[in-house]
Amino acid sequence: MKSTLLVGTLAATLVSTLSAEVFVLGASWRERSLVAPDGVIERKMRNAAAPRGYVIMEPAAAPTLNGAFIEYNNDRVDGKTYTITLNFTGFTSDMVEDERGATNRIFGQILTPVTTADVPNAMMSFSGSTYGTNKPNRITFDKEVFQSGDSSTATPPNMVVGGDMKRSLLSGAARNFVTTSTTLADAVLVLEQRLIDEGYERNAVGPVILVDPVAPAQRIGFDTSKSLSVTLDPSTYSENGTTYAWFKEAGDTDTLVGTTAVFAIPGGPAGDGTYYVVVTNEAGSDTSTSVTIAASTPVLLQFTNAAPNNIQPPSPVNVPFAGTAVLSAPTNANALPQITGYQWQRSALTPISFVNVADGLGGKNPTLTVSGETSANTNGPGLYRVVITNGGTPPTITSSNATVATALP
Amino acid sequence: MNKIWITAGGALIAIGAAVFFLNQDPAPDGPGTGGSTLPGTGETAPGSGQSPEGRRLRKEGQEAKEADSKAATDLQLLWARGDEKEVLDAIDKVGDYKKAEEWRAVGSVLIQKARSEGRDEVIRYLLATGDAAPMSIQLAMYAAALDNKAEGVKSLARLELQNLTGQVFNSEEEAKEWLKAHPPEEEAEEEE
Repeated sequence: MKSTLLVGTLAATLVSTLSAEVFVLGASWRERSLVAPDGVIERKMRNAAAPRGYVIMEPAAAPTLNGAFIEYNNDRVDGKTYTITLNFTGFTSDMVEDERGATNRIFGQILTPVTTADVPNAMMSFSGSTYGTNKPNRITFDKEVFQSGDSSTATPPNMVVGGDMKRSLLSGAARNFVTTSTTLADAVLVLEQRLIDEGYERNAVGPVILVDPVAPAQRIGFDTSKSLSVTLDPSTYSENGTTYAWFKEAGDTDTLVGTTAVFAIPGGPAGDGTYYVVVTNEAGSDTSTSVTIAASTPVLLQFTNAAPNNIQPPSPVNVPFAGTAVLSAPTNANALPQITGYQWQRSALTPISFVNVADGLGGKNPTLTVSGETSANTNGPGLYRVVITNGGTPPTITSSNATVATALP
Repeated sequence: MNKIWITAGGALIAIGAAVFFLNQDPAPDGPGTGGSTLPGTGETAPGSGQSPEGRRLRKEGQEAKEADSKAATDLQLLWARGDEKEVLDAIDKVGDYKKAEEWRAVGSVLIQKARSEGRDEVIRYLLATGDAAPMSIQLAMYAAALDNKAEGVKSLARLELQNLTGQVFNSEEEAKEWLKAHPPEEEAEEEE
């Protein structure tokens, strides 16, 4: 049997059967344009354009479609370029079954690239045929006029007398393309590769912040685990990368506090404040909304065994006569206010009377070396406790249970 | 009964046109050549030309052929005048065609121009217009554009043929050979 091209309804059925759920429409538009720079409609040299695109669709949970759109242009003005839009939602349609129930017609709207008139999110109506149960097969775009810029009219008669009006008249068509891809991501890769193979270069797409930074849950203690970030439109693209500038609002001049995609909020009061981020690449920038980080809940230090935020007193140690041992002051990185200082104190076993350990013997260090031998240059056996200072309330706490450093024979 | 004959005749015309466009040889550019490059319509009707139905279908076919010839010649002449605006306007009118017969009437001119047109805006506009044509004409236009002098046009044609066929071609001859072996199915006409 003679093989035939995989096009039209037959092909669509085969593709639908063999390659499952991804289908591709190859679309092209014809655009004629006029501009009126000074109130007089003039024809620009470039009065015709022919943008093209792949509309890629993958059914998800009904009635959702996951979509992508690759627009590509090949002309003397722009060269060979393409732009990828992911999470594409610019294709909506309704299906109408004919009276015989034999075929379906499809009606809907499609996002339209407009070259001259500066019209964002331009949509064109279309009608056409389907394959399978609901996939577009061959569609024709209804002629549509898009106009942008300012113009004023004298009434009567209605004449353009000023402004900078741009007007584009578009029409076009699309048909299903053969694809062996079974996922949307793969189809995007395959079709992009075709463009790359033909020498097309990808256009940068300016960042669009889809999800602004969100204030974290209440910070407890000196919490350095919280961060801020944004979610960008996945179509954001720049060969030269995307930069982030996190600012903390501070009166007239905000302070730059971070340049990474994820901003780590400093622990304690330094992290309190209002932040926003400016995301930039060569195609543009976007600024997030501001988010306010509230003051953290204090975590006070207490010498108890309660977990998790409080601390235990130093543990007793046995130290050989000719040896040493180390006493460690309790620490808690999460304490708020944070620990600012230590003071070790020593007492004889009897009578009990604590005095500060000299600085030279490590009295203000977080750890203290004790010796089994008592001398002027050592911290000998005895009772030890530590006084911990922080900047808050209570400002100072003292280990309630003294630690025994016992000399072994 | 008449309806059956007409339907059968229409189907043959469609198949004939598809074969014609895919087997068409390059033709010289310029006005006045329309006669030699006009699309053939293949067989016009089944059955004996002596029967009343056969005579009627033959007459209709002849009339259609003459109308096609005039449409193609008019387009050729207009193109030959060389004014870009007029050509783009003419392409726009072709782009509005809804019926396959209308496309077939001017198909050979469109294919020839896809091969020879040198103005950037015009050729790209022409190829985009061809996307609304029946599959056989669309494919033949892109195949012809593979032999266009402009590298950018060749590249566009190569890409679109790959999109439509899954094959990469480097010349019109190469594409035509493959398309002869893999002729497209003609699509059903869209309802108004």
